[in-house]
Amino acid sequence: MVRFTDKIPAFFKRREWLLFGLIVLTFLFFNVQEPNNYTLVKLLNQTRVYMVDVGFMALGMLLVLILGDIDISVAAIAALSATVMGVTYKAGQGLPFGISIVLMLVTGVLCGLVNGLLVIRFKELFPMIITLATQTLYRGIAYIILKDQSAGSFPTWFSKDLGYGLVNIFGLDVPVMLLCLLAVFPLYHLWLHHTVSGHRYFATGTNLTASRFSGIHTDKIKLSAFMLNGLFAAIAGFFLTSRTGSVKYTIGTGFEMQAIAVAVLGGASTSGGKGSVVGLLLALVLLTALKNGLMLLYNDAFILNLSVGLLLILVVLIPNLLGMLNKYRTVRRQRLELAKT
Amino acid sequence: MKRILSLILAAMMLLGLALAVGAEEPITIGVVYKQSGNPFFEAGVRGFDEASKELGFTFIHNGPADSSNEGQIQIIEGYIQQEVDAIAISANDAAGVVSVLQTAMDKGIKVVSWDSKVEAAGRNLNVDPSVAQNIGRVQVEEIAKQIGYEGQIAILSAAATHDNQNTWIAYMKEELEKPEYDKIELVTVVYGDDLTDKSYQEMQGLINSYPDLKGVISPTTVGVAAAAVAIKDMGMSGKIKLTGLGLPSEMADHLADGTCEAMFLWNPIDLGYAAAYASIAMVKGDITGAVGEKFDAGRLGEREIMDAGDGGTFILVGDPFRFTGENIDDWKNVY
Repeated sequence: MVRFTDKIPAFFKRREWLLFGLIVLTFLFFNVQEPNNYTLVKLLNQTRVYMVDVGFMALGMLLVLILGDIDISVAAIAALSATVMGVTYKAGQGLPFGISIVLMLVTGVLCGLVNGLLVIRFKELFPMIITLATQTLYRGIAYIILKDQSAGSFPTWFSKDLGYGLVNIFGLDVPVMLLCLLAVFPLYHLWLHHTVSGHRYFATGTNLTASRFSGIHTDKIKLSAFMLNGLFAAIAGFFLTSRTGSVKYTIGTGFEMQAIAVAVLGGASTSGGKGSVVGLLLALVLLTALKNGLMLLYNDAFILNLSVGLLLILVVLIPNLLGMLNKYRTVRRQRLELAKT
Repeated sequence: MKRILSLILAAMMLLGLALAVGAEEPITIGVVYKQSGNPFFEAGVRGFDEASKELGFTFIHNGPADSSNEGQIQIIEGYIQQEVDAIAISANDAAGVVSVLQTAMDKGIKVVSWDSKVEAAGRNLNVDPSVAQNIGRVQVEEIAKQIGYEGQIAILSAAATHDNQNTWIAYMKEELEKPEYDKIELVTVVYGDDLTDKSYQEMQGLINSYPDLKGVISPTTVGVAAAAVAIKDMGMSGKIKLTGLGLPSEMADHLADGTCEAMFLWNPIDLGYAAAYASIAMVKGDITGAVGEKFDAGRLGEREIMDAGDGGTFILVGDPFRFTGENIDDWKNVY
């Protein structure tokens, strides 16, 4: 006999469906509370604030998490890269903006390279401790460069058209930034889940030793993951700066936790080997819907952070708890059947 | 019977019409300040509250906990989403909020900056607490008097992106050019970012780096309070003179024991009150923010809009008041 309660865990084991259901519930809940302000159209506009920069950061973080590592220096990398961009551009007095952007991306990759080298060189240290150190280092360098000043006066296409621009698609005003982020997802998904190169990351994260013996250069894989993560962090800093219009060394403080939260919510595990690009996208949408709704209802940033914590516990724990319950029931049923015979 | 019925129906329709007109949505102002939990801005909000009771508008208020630019942008985006009629902001970064406020103005939202202004391109009007030159001058005069017109002084400011403090410091430097201050040397300007711990550390740093330091000006309520504590903790009370812009409720003890002989501030409640009246006048269309326009600012009387010299316009609220150990008891419970 199959009971309904037995079916629930199997359904909820698909993280994507759980996230999808939560998105619908979240939207409906806030839509009822704030029917005029919390609409799909307005939410779409708010993706600029809650989705884009964290999204780019989470894409890089996903790769590192799949390897079973973690990088908490990403927000600092974003700040340092953006600082390099702002300082070299020097409000139009310095280098051409295109070159400043390239330098910014290079800075991100270099920061990632340093992280990666430290991680593969000092295997006895946890990546969390290493990146905790580099986090202060990168933000410290940004502070030495800029001190307490801010750098800004970027070209209009950057601070206006990219940061606040909208494209009309089928009558909907879609932020330019969001389109940039969404363009990356299919490519990233295909690469990570459907190519040999992508599968190497999962293999390395699932079993490092076995992967090494099957001919995967696990150190190279790790190094490349941290470098890509640095690149994505720099891109996140780029989009964040396009919104703020100026850079300060404090920019993006705390974003690393949001990026980790999104990746974990989307199905990545800190012990490695797991992760999904589709799940990550859904987790991003869910957090955007939730944070924006809470911002409208409570107008308080503390509640926003609290909600992310609660949601993480909810989504990560519930499938586990249901799974445990299911196992317990199966065992009890088998015992009862054994007793009958 | 029919006539009575039709009369009743007509009366009901009229009543319905009257109700519909009466139920017109009230004006909403979205207030943004530099940081949440800062008593100066809590007093400012009391000014908005007072004005809202007199004028019958509603307002929502918020500031980022970390006094960041991106935190303010997040709040402003939320206000735009809620279709507020006006945004009244004290900006953490005069340039950093211009783009987002321009999108607000494109949607017909009026933008008034108060306390710390937004660049002219991102605002309709600025509400300045007092003549910036005066604010700079009185603090230099005070510290010079206290140290006997001779020796090293330093400035402990808020954030380097805060436009109000930057303007006052520029005027302080201008004032220091005068011959009577020839023997006074301004050694440095440091920034505590309006965070108590950072301001405290910066003050300690000043004491350690400049052993001959005679006086400190801190033109920010968070900074001057943290500086007073740091001076006391390091046993420099009386040896290093302190003045600046402080909140009476926070500075009462430091004024009473002489760590700070005198400091200045205008009434933050009046500042919020004036910003509220300016926002409402702008939403109602009484003013557009052009030079020469006048509007009624409630109990503060009439205010005239003037050229701010940065491409935008501003109004003035009041004058800085000098607080000392003698008069502080009258004020410490007010704000």
